[in-house]
Amino acid sequence: MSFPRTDVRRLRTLLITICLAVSVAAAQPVRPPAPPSSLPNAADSVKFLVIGDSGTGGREQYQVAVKIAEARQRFPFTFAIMLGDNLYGSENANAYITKFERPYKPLLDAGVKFYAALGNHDEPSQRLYDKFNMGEKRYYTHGHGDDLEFFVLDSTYMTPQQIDWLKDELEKSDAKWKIPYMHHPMYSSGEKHGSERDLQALVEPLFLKHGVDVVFAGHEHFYERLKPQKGIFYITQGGAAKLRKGNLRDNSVMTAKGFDTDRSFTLVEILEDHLFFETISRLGQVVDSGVITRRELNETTSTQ
Amino acid sequence: MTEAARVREAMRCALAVAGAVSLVTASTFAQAPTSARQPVNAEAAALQEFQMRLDGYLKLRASLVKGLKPLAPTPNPAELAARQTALAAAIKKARAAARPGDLVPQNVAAQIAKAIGDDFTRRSAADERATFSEVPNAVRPAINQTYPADAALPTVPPLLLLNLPRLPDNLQYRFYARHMLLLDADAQIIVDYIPNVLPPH
Repeated sequence: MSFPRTDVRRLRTLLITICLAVSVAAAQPVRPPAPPSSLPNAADSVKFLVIGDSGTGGREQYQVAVKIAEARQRFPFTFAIMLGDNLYGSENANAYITKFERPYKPLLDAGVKFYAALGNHDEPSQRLYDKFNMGEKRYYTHGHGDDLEFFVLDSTYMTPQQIDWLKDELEKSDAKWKIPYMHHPMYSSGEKHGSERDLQALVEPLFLKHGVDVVFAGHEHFYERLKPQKGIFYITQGGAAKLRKGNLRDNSVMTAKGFDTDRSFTLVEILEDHLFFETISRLGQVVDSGVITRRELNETTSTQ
Repeated sequence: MTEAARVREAMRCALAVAGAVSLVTASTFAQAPTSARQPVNAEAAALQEFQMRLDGYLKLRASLVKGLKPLAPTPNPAELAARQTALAAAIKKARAAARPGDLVPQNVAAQIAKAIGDDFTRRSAADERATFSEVPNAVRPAINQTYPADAALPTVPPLLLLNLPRLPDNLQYRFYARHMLLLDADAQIIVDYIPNVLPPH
């Protein structure tokens, strides 16, 4: 069988054109598409960012900050909670700039408010830094609408006075969502630190009594969502800059989902009785997501 | 009884004891001025003496703060750092002659040492390791020394804090090598310490 010469020439031209087109396309810088999001991104929801152990001033902190700013383009959170270790090392004026103001400049410029908890690398004088919105207190509350109140604890120095204060504040609160956050995780599968049993003994009974559904903590330099402990969801997000690679115990029965191979941050959306969350890696991959329903309404929770 | 139930029961007992101790301590501190009563025993008298010394420190601190720009919220990190440095310098100058034990009387130091010993006796080896994992492995501290900027502020276990005499805001107990510090939290300087009260780690 033979083809006419003109057809062969046309075929060759077509093949060359296709090859050229493919090679040109391959040479273009590829921008990965935004990861598919499970967040409803509703107009009337409360949206916030969760970061922990962020204040290194290192390259990875800045890389994560870029991903956070990108995420805000599609998910316009209005505030951020910081889970401690906001500034590692010396806390001179330059540290506040290079470890906080500069990496998060796009967020600060857009009016995102940060609410910091103190970690074991943070001096208590951070409470006087306006941009951490701590109201001069080591431990404090902040509310967002009628339905959401945060209880920010100083877990590095949990005095009896602080426990009394927490008890009073939880009792006073009418919020549907009462969300405590602190630096040290009450439950953790980390090999380096592990669970804080003193906090379990002193603070957990208050959480249980007052209907707390979710608690955030840092300190462990990875991400871990634990299976509910006595009905409470604990999320550890201590990987916004530092990483303790491979530190999650493989066989931990407490872990629902862990991520300890890169840095990450978590986006949260509260829509009525549901809390949606999505954790994104430094490279922009969604590494965990799901929804938590308030126990008062529904004992079951779905996650993916 | 399951292991978890036993742990919960032990915690409940510890809390009950801790609560009772706290109540005794609080009521001791809440009593009327010295002249109006007789201390019930040597421990209570020592705690009362400790409280008086702490009050004296706070009074001195307040007078020093009056001469400085107030420690108020600021968006300016340079201002924040400058105020902290100025406060630390003023305290160091005013207490240049301070010696270990000037704030913590010997009897109270002994009570604190006992509370620490009792606390670590009931902790597991893993718990103890975790507690000490970020304690600076430093040389002996000194009064007026600035806490090292690059060192973590290790957590003092909350159940132990329940059993220690309460400190006013701005003063904190902190572990430092094998020593217990009293740290001025805003100035980040050591105002007193009790040597060698922590178990070897």
